[in-house]
Amino acid sequence: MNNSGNDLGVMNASHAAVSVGIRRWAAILAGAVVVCSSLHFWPWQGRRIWEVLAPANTLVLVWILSVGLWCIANRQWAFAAAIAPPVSLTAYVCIVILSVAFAPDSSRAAYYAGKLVLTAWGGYTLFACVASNATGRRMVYGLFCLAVAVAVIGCLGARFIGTGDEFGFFRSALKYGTYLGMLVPLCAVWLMLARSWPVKLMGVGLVIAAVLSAGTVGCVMAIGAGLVAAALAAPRWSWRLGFGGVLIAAMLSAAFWPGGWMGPLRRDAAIREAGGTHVRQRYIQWQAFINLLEDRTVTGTGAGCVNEYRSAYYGRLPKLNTLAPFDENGYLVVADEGGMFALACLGWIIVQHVAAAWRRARRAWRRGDRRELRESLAAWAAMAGACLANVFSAVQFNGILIVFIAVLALAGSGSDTEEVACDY
Amino acid sequence: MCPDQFLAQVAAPKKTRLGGQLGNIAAVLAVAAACVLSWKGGLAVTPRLPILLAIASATLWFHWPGRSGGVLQHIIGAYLCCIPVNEISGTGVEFSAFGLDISLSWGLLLVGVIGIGAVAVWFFAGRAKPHTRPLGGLGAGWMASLSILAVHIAALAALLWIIYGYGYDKSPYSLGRASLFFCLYLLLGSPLRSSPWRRVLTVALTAYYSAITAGLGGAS
Repeated sequence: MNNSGNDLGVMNASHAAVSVGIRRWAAILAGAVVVCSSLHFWPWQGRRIWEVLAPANTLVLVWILSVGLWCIANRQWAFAAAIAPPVSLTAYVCIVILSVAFAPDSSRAAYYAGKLVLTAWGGYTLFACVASNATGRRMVYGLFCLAVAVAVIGCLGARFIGTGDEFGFFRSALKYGTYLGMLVPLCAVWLMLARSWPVKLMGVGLVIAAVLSAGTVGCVMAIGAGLVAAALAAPRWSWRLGFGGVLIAAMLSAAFWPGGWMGPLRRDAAIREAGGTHVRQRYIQWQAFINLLEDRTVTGTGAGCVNEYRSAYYGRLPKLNTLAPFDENGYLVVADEGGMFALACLGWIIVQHVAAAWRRARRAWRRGDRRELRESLAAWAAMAGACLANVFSAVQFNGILIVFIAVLALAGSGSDTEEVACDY
Repeated sequence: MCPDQFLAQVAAPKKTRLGGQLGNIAAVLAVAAACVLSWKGGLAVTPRLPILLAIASATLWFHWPGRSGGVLQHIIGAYLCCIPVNEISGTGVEFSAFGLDISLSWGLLLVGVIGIGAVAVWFFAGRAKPHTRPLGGLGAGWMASLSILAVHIAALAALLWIIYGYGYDKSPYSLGRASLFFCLYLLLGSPLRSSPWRRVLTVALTAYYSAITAGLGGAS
């Protein structure tokens, strides 16, 4: 029993046969989105227009327009239904749109909700279309490996050369950490389960380089969570030992690396402010978010408007103004902006896709399908990483959301459509 | 129970019996009471664009096509019903009993009314099992979100206790109120899945949000 007209965005064979041309177009756009994601907003950083029309967002907009016109012109309603996002994602988007009613600044909330509809809804249809066949999935996994390598090399290069942009194309350690937290487990598990030893070693090198380049505790914990999840789900002891060994090697490398290099990570891991008197402002803000939820449990503050209200909810705790940009908690921000219904929908999305990846991995192991097992374990690890990365930053940030959506589409897509369907 | 009695019970048109409808009646009365109370008491959280909510509530009148449409309609309907309850959750009734000063929020009382209705259905309508699995789909999402909230509260309480010597005191109320709305979501499932009762709720909600849109008082 499926939960919607589609089943987590997976197309069946008849739809795929009808739409070879549109699938190729989707593959070109999705590949470009993945590559653009590693460059973040570079080279247009600092220009406000690119916050909306960032290359990745623009490509998704082009996709929505082209596939929409194609479906209307050719009356391909079944194809449109097949690539539509699951009802959990649609419900989340609807709740966020309705929360605009409570926003103090309706134009900002509408702009935020518009970006969400474009990226989440449009991005899911794009990646679900590409991931509906094995070739498309392999291309997306391969390009994500390339994208992560570019981001990590860019970061390491920037920090070695010392241009001032500590974290390469991302600038913000928190956004960079969220990006790596989701994608390093995905790519590392996918590479390490390849048959070729040079490719396996690339996976090992990627994990170590990512941990050394990380500047936030959230990034390191997300990578760790992803690899631990992969080790727990792996059906062979040799694979478990491999994932565990790589994680330990990466942690030891970070621990024995020169102190100055690892300074940002150590500062981020501290639970007290520099003076030692107060708890980190990040955790005080979490408390303010929870307090705010008491008054606006259902209504929320409106999409994108949590900062208008949070100052009133610090209570006895001090407001120190030491918070870095993007130092948010994704779960609490969703709950505060859209209310508990929005958080419940986000929980539903996560539970649904985690369960889909888990079932696919078990099924693939029983069938002896190594390719499917490799992909489903990688998606499962990425989901674990994303869940943890969302605690120390937010996967909804512009430029990061499209990557989270791609991970969801990969977790929900596979050759076995029966297994990924989730009941309502 | 002999086979004849069992067959009679199964074949009985439960939906048309008053006992079988008590849950729906209680839910509709509770939502209507929440609308009236929040209207009379002034809105605690004023919507700046209430027309959006009025349009959304009006669309509940129609049956949304497809299985996905039905699921989505249920979620949007529950969300719109919970908003007036949210508006009055900060207020309640206070009384003394057994030497204790007792304060009960309106939200808790209304959920209690709907809960009593649900128990009455269970009692009068042959102890039938609910037709929906409460923890499927969004129910699992609610459980996940409540768990996320509880873990954050526990971790923060420990952190604040270690550093300041006190765990913060308001967090449990947030979790309690979130749990209250989870119960409301579960209890509103039956009326929102039944076309006649959903339409009664639609009328109440559309009137409520339209009045706010028209600025006929209420907003504080």
